[in-house]
Amino acid sequence: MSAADVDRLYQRYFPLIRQKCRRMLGDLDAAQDLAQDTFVRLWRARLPEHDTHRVTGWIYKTATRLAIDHLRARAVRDATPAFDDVVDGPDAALAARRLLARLASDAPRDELECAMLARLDGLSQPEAAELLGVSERTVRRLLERFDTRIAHLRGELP
Amino acid sequence: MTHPSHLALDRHALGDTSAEIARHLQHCADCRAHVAAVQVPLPRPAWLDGIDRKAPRWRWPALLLGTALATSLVVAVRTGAPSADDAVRAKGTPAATLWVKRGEQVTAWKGERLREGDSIRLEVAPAGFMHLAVVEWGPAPRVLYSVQPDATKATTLTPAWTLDADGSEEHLLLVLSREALTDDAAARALGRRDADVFTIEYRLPREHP
Repeated sequence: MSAADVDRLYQRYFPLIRQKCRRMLGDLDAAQDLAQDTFVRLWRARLPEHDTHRVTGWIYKTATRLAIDHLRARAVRDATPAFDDVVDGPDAALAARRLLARLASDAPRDELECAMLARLDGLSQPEAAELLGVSERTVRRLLERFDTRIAHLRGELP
Repeated sequence: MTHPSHLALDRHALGDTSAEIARHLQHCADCRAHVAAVQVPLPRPAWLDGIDRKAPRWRWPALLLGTALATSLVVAVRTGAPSADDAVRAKGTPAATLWVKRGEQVTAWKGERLREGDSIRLEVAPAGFMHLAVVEWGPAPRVLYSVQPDATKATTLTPAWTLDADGSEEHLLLVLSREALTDDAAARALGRRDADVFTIEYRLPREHP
């Protein structure tokens, strides 16, 4: 693999990796680090570049998992994550990010993955199921649990 | 209006699309903006040059930290040792956070004893210093890693070290400098905190069975 291969892969996929990381983290610096990390892993994974369907699925899954690691680490360092550098996105996306950040240290990883994909990236249940390699029923169950967790957090449930 | 997912729009931008999404885009400016944003050509960043040597940020490769070098079981807090004020910050004096991965848990080190199999990783805010060396301290200090970090922001160093079974303590020295230092100069920098060189010291006690 040559420098030209890296450049081509970068031009093709890095913009969407960066946008996804910004959606998940809000913080521009952290999103850039996460995007770089995701791209390095993509480069090393040596996936067939033109299999867009497979590569984008891999990117979404990998970046989501790395973001969860980041949010968990940040939750340890700072119990109240700051969102001073919030970038694009409507209020709903910001609210979803805040909730995910607050839940990052407590909620199971599969729930967080599913919630990020469905609530931040807008994946339908069939899309999320295909990406995560689980059934649609499992996706529904994970999202229901996540919603219950949020309701508890908001004090809506005893 | 129900929008396609970001994944579907990204795939469309790369040519993997459907008639349904193409129809939606004709009428939805928001989704067209999303597609346009991921089709913008980007300038080539310098970090692509070293991509084959670059480890992913949260990958924890099994580099064994060498035999422990000091004997104290107590975390020594002396000039240059990390404190709460050394938590990573982007501005002001340099700062660092040491992350510990035990199993699947990643936590910031707060002085607790470490054990065999724990992995450690450093996050450093150089605050303007251009060079960084990580030195394993002891009678014969040696540079484990050196890099030119982004001087303006906190960066997680790419290598992680997995602790082996030996010793009672790990003793690391982070040496930040304006100019590149030789390994010998970095190894002599203990305690320096001036305009040219700034050190942060870590003494990591080991847990014994």
